[in-house]
Amino acid sequence: MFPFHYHRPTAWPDAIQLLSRPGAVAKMGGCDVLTKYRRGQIRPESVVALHLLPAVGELRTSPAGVQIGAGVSLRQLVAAPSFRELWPEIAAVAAQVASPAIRSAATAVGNVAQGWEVSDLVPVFQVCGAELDVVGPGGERSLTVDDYARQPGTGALNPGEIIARLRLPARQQGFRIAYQRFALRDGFDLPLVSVAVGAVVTAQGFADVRVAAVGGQDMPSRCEAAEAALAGGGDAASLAQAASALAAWAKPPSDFRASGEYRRHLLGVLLSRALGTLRAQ
Amino acid sequence: MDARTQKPARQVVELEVDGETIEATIAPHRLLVDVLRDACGRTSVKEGCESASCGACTVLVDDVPRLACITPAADVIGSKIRTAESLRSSDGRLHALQEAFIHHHAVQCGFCTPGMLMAGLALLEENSRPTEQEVRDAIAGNLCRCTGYVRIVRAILAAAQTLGARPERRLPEMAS
Amino acid sequence: MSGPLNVIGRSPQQVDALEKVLGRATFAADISLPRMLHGAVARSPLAHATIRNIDLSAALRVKGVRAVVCGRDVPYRYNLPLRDQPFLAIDRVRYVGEPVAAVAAEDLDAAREAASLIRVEYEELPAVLDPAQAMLSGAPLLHPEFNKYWRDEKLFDPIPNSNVLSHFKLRKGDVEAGFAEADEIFEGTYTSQAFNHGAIEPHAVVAQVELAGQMTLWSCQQSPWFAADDLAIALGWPVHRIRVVTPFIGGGFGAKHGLKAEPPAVALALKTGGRPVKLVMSREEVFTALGVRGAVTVKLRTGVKRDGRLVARTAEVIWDTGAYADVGPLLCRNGSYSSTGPYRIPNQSIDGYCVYTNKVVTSAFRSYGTMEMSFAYESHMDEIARGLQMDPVQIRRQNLLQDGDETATGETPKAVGLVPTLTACASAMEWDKPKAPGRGRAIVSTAKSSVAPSGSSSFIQMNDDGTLNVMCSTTEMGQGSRTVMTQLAAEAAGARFEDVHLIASDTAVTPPDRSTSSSRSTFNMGNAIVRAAGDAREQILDKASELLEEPRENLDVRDSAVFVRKDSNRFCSFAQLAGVRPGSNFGPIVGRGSFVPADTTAFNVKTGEGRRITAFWLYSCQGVELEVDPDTGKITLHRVVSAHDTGRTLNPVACEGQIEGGAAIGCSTALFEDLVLDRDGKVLNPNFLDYRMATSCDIPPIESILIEVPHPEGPYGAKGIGEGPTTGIAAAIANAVEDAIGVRITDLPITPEKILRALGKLPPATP
Repeated sequence: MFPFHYHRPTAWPDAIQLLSRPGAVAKMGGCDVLTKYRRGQIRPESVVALHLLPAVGELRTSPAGVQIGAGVSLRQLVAAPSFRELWPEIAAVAAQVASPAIRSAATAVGNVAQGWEVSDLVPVFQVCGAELDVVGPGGERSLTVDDYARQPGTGALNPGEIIARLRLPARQQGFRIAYQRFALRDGFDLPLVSVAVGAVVTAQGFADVRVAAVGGQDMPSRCEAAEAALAGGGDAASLAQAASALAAWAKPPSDFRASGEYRRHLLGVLLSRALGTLRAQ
Repeated sequence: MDARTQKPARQVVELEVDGETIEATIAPHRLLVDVLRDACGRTSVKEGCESASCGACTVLVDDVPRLACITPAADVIGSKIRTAESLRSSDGRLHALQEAFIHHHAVQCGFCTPGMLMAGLALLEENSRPTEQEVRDAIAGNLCRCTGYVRIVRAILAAAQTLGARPERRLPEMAS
Repeated sequence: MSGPLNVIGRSPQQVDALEKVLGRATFAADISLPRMLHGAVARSPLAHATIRNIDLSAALRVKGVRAVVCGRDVPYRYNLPLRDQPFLAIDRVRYVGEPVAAVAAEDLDAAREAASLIRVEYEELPAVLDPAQAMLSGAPLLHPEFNKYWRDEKLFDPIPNSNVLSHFKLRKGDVEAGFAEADEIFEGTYTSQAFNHGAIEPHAVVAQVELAGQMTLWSCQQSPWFAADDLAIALGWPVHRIRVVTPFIGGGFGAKHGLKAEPPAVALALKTGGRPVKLVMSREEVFTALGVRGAVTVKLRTGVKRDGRLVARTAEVIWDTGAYADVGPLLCRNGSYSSTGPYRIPNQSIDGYCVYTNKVVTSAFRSYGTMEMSFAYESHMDEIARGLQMDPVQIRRQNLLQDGDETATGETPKAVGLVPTLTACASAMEWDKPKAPGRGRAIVSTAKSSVAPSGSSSFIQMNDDGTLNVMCSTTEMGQGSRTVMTQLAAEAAGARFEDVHLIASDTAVTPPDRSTSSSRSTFNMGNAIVRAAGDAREQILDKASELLEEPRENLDVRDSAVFVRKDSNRFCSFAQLAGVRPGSNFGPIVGRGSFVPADTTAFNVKTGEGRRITAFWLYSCQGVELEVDPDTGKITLHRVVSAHDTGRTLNPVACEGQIEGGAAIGCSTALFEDLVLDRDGKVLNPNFLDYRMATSCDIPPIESILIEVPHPEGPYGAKGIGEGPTTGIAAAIANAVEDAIGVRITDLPITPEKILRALGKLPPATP
């Protein structure tokens, strides 16, 4: 394999400085970066491991919110009772990502940070209003997962910037998430498309509805048109409107895995199913 | 440019593999699969896809399953690494999983076998009474082209029965 | 062979299971030799181009590089029976991924670095990827020098000045009269996709050419003698200078039959001054350059009587062989004549075309054409049943070949197990009961021939302690040959299973055998071993008769000892009869066995006739039950029932293992797998994430049924089993989908998207 320098900084300033160099690539779990390296898709000058940085492994849960350190693996997230209790839906989604060996290395933040077109966790984080805390040469800043995921890869980061943690806001009373994915295989597969719906569910219907989809646009995105259709509370007519709003909004890619038409069709099916699940709750 | 021409320095490291301490000289970019196979003689760690999608290189690092093909060797210094070669006890007895794989004819070509055993071990160390679906989920990242998984699943379930008497080990809880 | 059987029919512990679960089984990539170099291959980025220049200088400058070779260094061509393939591209590249140059270096990093620095100047040529286009006159020719290649003219007929390297023709009866007699005529076109073999072990080889001239390959090679012969002919060497040793093989499925990773490794080993070179392929290389199960299009037209009798059929089959012949000519022959299916059809006309395209080379795949053909003929059969409003099982039962019937090629097969497998499968599927609501189900029958004529041989030596060593060139790749051959040797020699040690395989030690392919080993090698063991047993009886002072006819051989039949207290062990140890009077015992099926004949290339073109057939019946999600088109398989005629079940669990694995491949390739190329001929999904093979969560319960219709020439009546289980599954799924939701998919794989289009929930696909 092509050689690279491998740095494992233990202090944030060192990490920031190392990552500011041209040709440097950040690695946490390494599942994405090293897979690309091994397939010859990237040839980094240096790889900067982030897992030894202070506090990256911390998972803080409280009713006021959750902080998931950048080094928290999917396995750790799924196994943490405090997290499972607060966000059982997210834990369930994380538990079906890839395979056990990958979940031991891959991190929840990495799932967002790598900026894939397809990800199970990103749409779920989007409907929760999750934010990312970023540190870098210019200090600290925050941005929403929604904003981060507007471009592929790590394009939302400036040179030297590192995502330190992901924050989930306090869970609103009655807030529920339904997540539906469609994958060709039943084991170890990325979704072709998926839909996450978050809403406050009451006896009267839905409020504060958020819809995010994978496979609808180039990147996982919120669909405001579908959200607007459901704003009225989610009666039967609005469910159909939401499905057509989602279909109209979607500009799904066509590739060897599936056509855009098929992805668009699936989005409608999954949205209906997700809303059905929410209503049943 | 400069970084490319200036070759990254090798370092001498100690790894704990299957209870042995092994000294190896590694280049910084060296991955665990190569170090285990070449420097540690653990040729049971197979490379089927070199990019995290077949599971043949599954080993346990500090008791959790990891893919050696995408794990930098430098990251596991100080960790406890277990390969399929650790399964047999020092007095020569086979592990219940090995017994079950033999008994249930869960082995055909044998190339995926070490990775399957380790994926199975990772499951059983955490969940001593898995359901069939839990077994299937636990090995979903380990591809096998020979068996249709039928007897592998059966063997892992049988090993769980054999090991059933042992106490269940739970994951340490995360600080919260 | 009379008397009770002690070893066969049981499922002893597999002889190689222990070393495999210990992680100590050696595969080619595990081999490390003193002074070994590591190889890497530079490959063509273009589908079709002439090579104007190759600049190796930058590669040679990389530290640690010891040899760099390209086509001009090894101007040889290999492949039997059509020598069209260069070791490394000589003056032209014909597919993306074709080896162009190779490097051997002190370590893999250096080899790969150097390979990436090889600069090739190409002049691009028009590429042709679609075999239907490639067949047209005026299509760019892949091999303008075709006539200069050596080929075995007895075996196949090319169409001159075209990309059609083989046109197989079969004419039987009077097709026009047959159609005139028919009440109804059915037509259909069925397409099978290109897919990868999916062995989890990537191809690997260590090659060494000693300074004294002896070459040794330690290679994941299914067919060591076939590979040694091919290499010897290509190089012009006597074959005794080439030794092929096969360690354990991590899955073959046809991908490792014949020269595959070996030629670039040999090219390097010829230039490294005696140092061995290890070449291990990456998964991407396996997908793009180490062979594929090629795409096939089958057009069927069948005339039937109203009562369901098949009376006439025409078949046109197009085989995409990719850039080189490999097995193409024989695949085209055996596959095309299999388009008849397991049925009696008196009037037939079959045309098979094997066509060059600028794609990765089609190699053998487990079932050698019968997967593709059975998808066509068993989809077609259900369409006929539906058209005639007949029960699909009934119409099959009515037309299935039985003993005394004649096949398409004019053969009268023996011990036909078709009706029994169908009956057993239908019973297990509870075909006579209504299906569960929402479900679809189907049952299909298939028949697959085995390569013939093809020979095998074996030696059995008695060691000084009375144990036996069996020399066998059949390679173990998971199918369980080591165990079954050990059982056969033990049974036939009268030895205990644990006293028999199988030595496989090494062409310097184990005697010639055509191949480990075509489900032939149990039948062919099995017979050779039974003969060798029988020969050893004769010698054992002679010596025991002398020692025990009893006539031979009074003696029984069992459990590694010879007993006086009427007085079992009088016996001698094998150890007393054996050997060259001081004090032994008897001298060594060596049994020899060689087998080639009697009367098997080659084909008439003009008519496709052959009196006996296979030693035996594999007869199978596959049942599938499934349901389809009407909103997403996704198929959920609920069960597979897989019934096979083993002739005689030598090892029940090994047979079930073959069935489960084969049926799983059938499911996986029917639903998921597809090697996709872009317009420039580049593989888009050369990894296990984008190329989807079934995981542990995707395979339904598989129920195996073993039927025994003993073959008069099989060892203890046995036939082969390996390939049958892969056949028919795709058609069964397609038929069950129609049974469930009323739409038919005729091109594989059966994806959810195709189902929704067929249901009209999406507009028709635009190509």
